[in-house]
Amino acid sequence: MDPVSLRIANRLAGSSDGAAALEVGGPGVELLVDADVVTISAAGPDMVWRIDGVSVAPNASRTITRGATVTLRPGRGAVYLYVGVHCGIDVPHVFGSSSFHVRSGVGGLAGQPLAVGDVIPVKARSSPELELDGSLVHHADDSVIRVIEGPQSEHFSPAAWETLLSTPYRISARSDRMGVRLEGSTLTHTDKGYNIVSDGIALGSIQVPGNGQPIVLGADRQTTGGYPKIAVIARADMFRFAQRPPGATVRFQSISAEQGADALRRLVGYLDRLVLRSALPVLNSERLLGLNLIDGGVWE
Amino acid sequence: MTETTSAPRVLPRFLSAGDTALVVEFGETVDPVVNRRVMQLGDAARAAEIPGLVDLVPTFRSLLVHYDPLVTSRGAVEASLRGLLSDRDSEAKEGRLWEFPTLYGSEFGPDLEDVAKRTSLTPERVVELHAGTDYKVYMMGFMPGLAYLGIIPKELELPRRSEPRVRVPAGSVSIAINLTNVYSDESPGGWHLLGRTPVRLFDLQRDPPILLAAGDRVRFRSVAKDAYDDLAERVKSGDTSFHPVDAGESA
Repeated sequence: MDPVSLRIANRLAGSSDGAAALEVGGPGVELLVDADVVTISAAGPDMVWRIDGVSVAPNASRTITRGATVTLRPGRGAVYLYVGVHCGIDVPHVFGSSSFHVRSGVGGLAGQPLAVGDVIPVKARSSPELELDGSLVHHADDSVIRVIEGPQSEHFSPAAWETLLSTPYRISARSDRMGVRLEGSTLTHTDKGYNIVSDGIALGSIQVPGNGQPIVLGADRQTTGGYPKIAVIARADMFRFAQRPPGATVRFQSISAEQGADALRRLVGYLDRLVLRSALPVLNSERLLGLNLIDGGVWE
Repeated sequence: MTETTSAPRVLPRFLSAGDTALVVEFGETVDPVVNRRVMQLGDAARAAEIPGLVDLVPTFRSLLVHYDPLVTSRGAVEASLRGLLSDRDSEAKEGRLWEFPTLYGSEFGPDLEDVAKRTSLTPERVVELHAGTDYKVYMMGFMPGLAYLGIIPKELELPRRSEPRVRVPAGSVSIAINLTNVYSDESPGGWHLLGRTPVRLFDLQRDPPILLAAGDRVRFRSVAKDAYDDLAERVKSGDTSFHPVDAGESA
């Protein structure tokens, strides 16, 4: 849901941008290392993680050894964090993707969500320990989300469009990777109604069913749907929107498709210029003995 | 959804779908002519290899075009698509023809009696009408492998059930409004269940996993319980292969 944090997690782990990683929501996760050595990373706004009870810098990678316990929790003002693993998590590609689609059970570990006791297959290798130089891009005006006109804007009166742009909407707890429900001022349809003959749904589409409360369609959305879509969230703001937790509010601001493309270009520029610095070396005999010195040496 | 018999030859509308997609809308109804125009542009766009084009989602009446705004622009994509619009409707290419053995009624089609009552037909006549028509795949959507087929005989048209079911078994053959479909997996659903086919529309272990494609033709053949059971047994043992009775013109 937050491809920016995902990409940063993969970069920190020394993996390619498309490498499979873990998306962690809810209260977080505890992982036990069942490999001789592995470099893992964690990224996400305000995330917290500990290795064997010792707090680690956010947005960083660490090389850890068999038996270590890693606890990770998404930030209180956020929803997701991402755990990268050097060389990626070893899952088969389905339809050209290593993602897991919850509803259809396609992809991931044998088509099932992760459960307590599962073993996550990784290539046990180490890579330099890194930290993000500076903070994540997520916090800049994170309650203002830019939107572009949607394909069924004609199903709404100018007053409804005005309402969407001038009143706050609260993120509902009844939200998931398929749809994020919003609560706020009712968006009234014109006499064209709220049933359309199904058409395609772009990521971030804001559809409005009969009750007038908008739903933003996320990464696991259906490909087609029959409710009118008043607007679509700018792609460059989708990752920040996805990180807004239940109870938080957002305000929408209208931009053009061209302005959206410019914003996306700036975001990609930020990702291209990301500076990762070497983590401070913390070497002691216990760690040295635990590291694999034969394959590639110690990286610090 | 209403069926119109002829769609006027007007230029499609180009609609905004955010900053990474646009919609080419040919109409607002379920209509064979409108749908053929969608397919025609979709085929042409696929063949033209437009730079920056990421994906195409053809639907009943519109084409959703995903593009990469870092490679191209909405204006450039729109211009390319306009250049591909034909001023003539192509001859409809005959898609593959599939024949799905279907066990109608009883617990396999729990709504057959109700549909008969509400349409003032006998259950036998409902089956005769439903199985006596060749349908076209207007659109793939909703869940992996699911095809929207139309258009059903006017006598069978009913709105969706007022109370959707929480659990509809995979393979359920159903109708709603002027369409029919086969549930490709177990799912909630509000359509009227007339019967069930053992044919699996979606199976990851099969190549390709998704059986049908937009433009294909489908007919249902009413079979007895033992014929249904034979095929169901084969599918259950892992053999989900299934072949069209006519390869169509694309072969």
